[in-house]
Amino acid sequence: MTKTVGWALGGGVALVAAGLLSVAALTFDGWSPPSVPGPREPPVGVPAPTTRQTLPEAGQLEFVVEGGAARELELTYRVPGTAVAKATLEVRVDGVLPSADWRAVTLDQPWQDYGPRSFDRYHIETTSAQAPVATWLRARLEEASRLSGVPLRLDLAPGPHRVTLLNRGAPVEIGGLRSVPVVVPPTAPSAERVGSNPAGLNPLAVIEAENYAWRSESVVRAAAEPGLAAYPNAADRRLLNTLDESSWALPGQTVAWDVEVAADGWYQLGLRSKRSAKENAASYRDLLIDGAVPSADAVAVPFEWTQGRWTTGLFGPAGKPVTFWLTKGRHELVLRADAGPSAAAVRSVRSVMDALSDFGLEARKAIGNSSDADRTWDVDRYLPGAATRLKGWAARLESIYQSLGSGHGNPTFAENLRIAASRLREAADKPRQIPSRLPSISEGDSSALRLLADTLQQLSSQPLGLDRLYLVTPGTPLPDLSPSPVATLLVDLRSFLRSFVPGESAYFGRSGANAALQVWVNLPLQYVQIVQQMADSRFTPATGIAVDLSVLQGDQKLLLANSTREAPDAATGIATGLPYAYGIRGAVADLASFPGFQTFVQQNFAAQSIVPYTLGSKVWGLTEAQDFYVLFWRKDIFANLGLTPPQTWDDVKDLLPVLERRSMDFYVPLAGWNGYKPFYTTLPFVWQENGRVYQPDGASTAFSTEASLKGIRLMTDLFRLYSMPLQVPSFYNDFRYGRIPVGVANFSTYVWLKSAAPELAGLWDIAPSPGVRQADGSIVRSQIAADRADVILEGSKRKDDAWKYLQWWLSAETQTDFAFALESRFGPEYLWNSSNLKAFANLPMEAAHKAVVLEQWKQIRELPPHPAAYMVERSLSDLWNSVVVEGRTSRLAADRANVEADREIVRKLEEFGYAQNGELTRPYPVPETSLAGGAP
Amino acid sequence: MNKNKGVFVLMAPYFTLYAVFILLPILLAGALSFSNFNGVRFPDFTGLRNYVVLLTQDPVFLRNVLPNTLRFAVLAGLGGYALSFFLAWSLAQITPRIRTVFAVLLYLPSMTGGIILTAVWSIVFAGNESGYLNGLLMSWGFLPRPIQWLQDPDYLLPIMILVSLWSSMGVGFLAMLAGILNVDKELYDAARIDGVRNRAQELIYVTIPSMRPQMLFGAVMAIVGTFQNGAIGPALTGSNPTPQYAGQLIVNHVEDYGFIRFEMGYAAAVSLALLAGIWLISRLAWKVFGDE
Repeated sequence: MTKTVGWALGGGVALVAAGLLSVAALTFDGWSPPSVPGPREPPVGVPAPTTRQTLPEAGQLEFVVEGGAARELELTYRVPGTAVAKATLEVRVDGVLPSADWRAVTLDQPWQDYGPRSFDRYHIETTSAQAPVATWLRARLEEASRLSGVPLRLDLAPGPHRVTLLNRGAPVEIGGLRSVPVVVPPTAPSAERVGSNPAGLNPLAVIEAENYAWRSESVVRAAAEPGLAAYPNAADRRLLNTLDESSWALPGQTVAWDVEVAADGWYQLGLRSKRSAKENAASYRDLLIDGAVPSADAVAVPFEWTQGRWTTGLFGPAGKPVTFWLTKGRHELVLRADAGPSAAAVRSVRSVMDALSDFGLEARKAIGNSSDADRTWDVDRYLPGAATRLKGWAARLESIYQSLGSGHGNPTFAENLRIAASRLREAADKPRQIPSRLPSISEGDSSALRLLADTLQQLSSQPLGLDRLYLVTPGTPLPDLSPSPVATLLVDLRSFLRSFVPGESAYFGRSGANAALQVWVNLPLQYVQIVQQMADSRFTPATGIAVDLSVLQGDQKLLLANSTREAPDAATGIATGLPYAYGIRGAVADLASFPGFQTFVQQNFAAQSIVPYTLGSKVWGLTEAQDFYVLFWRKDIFANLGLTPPQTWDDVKDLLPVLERRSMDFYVPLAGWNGYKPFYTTLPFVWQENGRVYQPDGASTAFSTEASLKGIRLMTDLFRLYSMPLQVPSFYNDFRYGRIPVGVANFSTYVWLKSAAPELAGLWDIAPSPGVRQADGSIVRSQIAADRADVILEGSKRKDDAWKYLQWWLSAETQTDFAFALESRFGPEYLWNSSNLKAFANLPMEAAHKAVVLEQWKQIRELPPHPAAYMVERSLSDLWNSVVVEGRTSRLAADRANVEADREIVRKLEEFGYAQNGELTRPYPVPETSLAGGAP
Repeated sequence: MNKNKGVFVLMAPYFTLYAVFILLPILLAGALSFSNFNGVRFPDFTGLRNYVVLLTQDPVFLRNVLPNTLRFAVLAGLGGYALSFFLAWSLAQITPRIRTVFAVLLYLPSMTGGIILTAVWSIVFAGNESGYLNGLLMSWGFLPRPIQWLQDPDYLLPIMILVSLWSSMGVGFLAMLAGILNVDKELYDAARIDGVRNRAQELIYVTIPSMRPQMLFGAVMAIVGTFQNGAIGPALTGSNPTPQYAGQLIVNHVEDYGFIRFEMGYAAAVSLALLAGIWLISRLAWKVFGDE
């Protein structure tokens, strides 16, 4: 017994000692800089065509092409802009859409890294700047989802045909369009041919996956995997060494590598790859060499699930490696994500979904808006064959589920298919009650339809992580790179011990006792990394001020840090209520006292944006990010019902009965909050009726004034008299499934709909928020907009430097570049809602939507700050509650809210020296501005 | 004295930790409660003002917080205590294997705590038709339209009490279960001879008196637990304060003043009042179950 303990202890000590030694040896680790991919020679693309035409946004162009059976359309084009979103065309042939697929044809653009990769201050290698190559390209038209993996096909009668291109996105230049016959890839070379390989070839060439030449989308990115698993690696720094698995998952995403071949011969491709997501199902890749598929077996090659481990193997289906002939010189190897057999599964699921949603509509038509669950129906009369249809769909879903599984086990990522099938079977078992079972078939949160929609994206995704590519001659063994368990253990131990070395935990707290400006950023790490890079490469060289950024997790910590004298010099991205709350208590600096404040604000921000931080002549913060509340509406549903989007709340009141007859609803942000309704959900109604929150002397609320009361009535009547839904847990979902086809929502809903609801692309739009029509005919649509704020701490000894930093960070240039860097690195869901109006105007966002937001921002009306604002917010929330939930009259409730809030207002004004013994001694300056007043 | 040195050495670690993490904060809170402190500037001494305001000028405290806390403490605290005892006693009657399973099942809610609160109960009581309770009641035809369970001041506190009862089978429950199982079986036989005729009498004359330490432990845990259980209202409604202060407990009131209104001094006074309340009721429990 004692002996065992002794051994264990000894072993432990030895391990720790080894770890310490390796920490000591850090600086001696062999490491050489990776080769740097720069702009490519020869360049990507085709020579510029002689005739070129510009196809502007929403414009159209016509071409005449030759007819014939099995044709594809080949387009020569150039995308001049640098937008992350792809150029999108709608294509009509002889004036009609050949099929729904032609509605959205997307044009790829190669993205390259520019400039060398560099290490950040924490020895993490980061990618260089990303930009699309604005060169002329030639490609066969493919539909947006790239599910089929081949270009769109046409069967045309012989003779000339008219093809119209309608631009649905950013401007494109067109060099020409012609119809070409379908290309059939050659069959694989025979074994005898391959066997006669010339002698003296380089048996093994290594290409690091992260050193790609270009890729079709900027979001496919190199990643730094720590530890020994991926190559290259180093103990004292994190190298970009893989192609990130999750970033390369959408069908159609391609990555290209350049390879220099020394001599003509037969070659094969070896890959060190990894699969961790989508368990028990394969991902697929196509191989293209110099733009063409070498042989038919190089298409849709499966990569089985590897439980997240790196495995090395030859590229080819089921143990038969693809062999191809390469001539001496430079070649381009391209791997393209292919949906493979899952494309069929996606199509089947989609068709079941369409059928289910038609079935739901059919049932709704038959039973109307009845919700009586006990009623039984003569189903055969109203919904002929309902039970058999449901069972048929269930069987189809089950067979899709079976087809997805590989030899290793069930495709657990697609479990929803099985659950949906069982929902349908349950409903089919009691045919007479099918109409009452719509919530589990086609409507609501747990319906089969919803479950299927949730799975759809997972189904088509094709994740694959790559570490290395090998160009080998047939028969050459591939190197085995898996590290030994002991080495892995030692490295893990070392990195664990390193985490105790001060300054080694990147972006958390001070990086040593240096003299850099300390800035705490209340944003996720990936954002902070980009800001730090930008500050290091631009701000510091220009001003000589070094900046240390740290991730601030939870802005409440700022107060605690302040009381221990550990506060930073500046903090960015904090809640908009905090600058004032800290400012009036003397914890943050008055920004208005810094040189150039007035001009900086006037040139960059909406006039109202500083209102939430203002007291008298003091301004304690600046808005960094600005939200927008606009009307979201479903174009398809509105067109179906013959409706137009509402302009005013009166329009909404007219619209509600029409929607409710079809068991649809309207959404306002108030319904998204469970208990307590924050100001930005309640105040817009008061603003739009030109009401106020506080009396001008700041000593009491203004709820009982005529204008405010009108706003309060509007806010409560919508729920009480027009029965808007009181609680909507997820507008985004209800909007997707059409249950709530219209509502007022914000920036995050916009981003979700844009990036996570591909099935809705083009089916929805935004418009300025509904408002109240004034006597002069104009409509006041005011909303609150401040989202996150920046401050400088009063305790800072470097306030002037901090002010320079804020000016740099909030400048139009920095904000624009930051927005672009963020989106090109992480994808369109990382849209940055900059409050800098110039930067927002430059955002890579749909122009029509941007115009709507900028229009809405003309009507920003921010909340004037007050030391007792929380109490007023509460009173307004409680007022809504007592009118809508408890059924009191709004006048009585408003009076009560007034009394409650006023007591706290006087108490707080006393605390800050505006009142004594319950009497106002000097007026509290409420920076309340009406829109007519303009600047504060 | 020399002989006792060892005792002090052994006590030192505990006492140091106790002093640093319990005694010192309480003393600091006590000092702060006599001051006006906004978290930024140095506190200024205001004497007993915070306590005077608490008892005379804080309508929310007197009208909502205090009655809510008392109601919650009596129903959820006493109720939970009685329920723990009843369930522990019932479990003691069944065979060990099944007993273990049930004990774990009953103990589970008190372990999972906060996350389950929001994940399960706010869905059960959600205010639209997809909330389980509304959904069931509507499908059975009891309700024409959903009730705002968590929004309506009439329902919020009862729901909080219900949820608290569900999670009240904590350490106290386990202690009582152990206590009941520990009672000497011969005592029951002796009691039989002395004239005990039914299980109820057994319970009152034998079981409870023999397990006084566990009863006391359970009582103290229940008291402290219910008074400190402030997370439940905000967890259910998603915000502090709860709608119309309907579910506002003392702990929420402390947070409200400390972190929303930046009146740390007053918050300290309220939390000391809470401490006093807990201490008083614990004394009562000692009186009933203590061993003098």
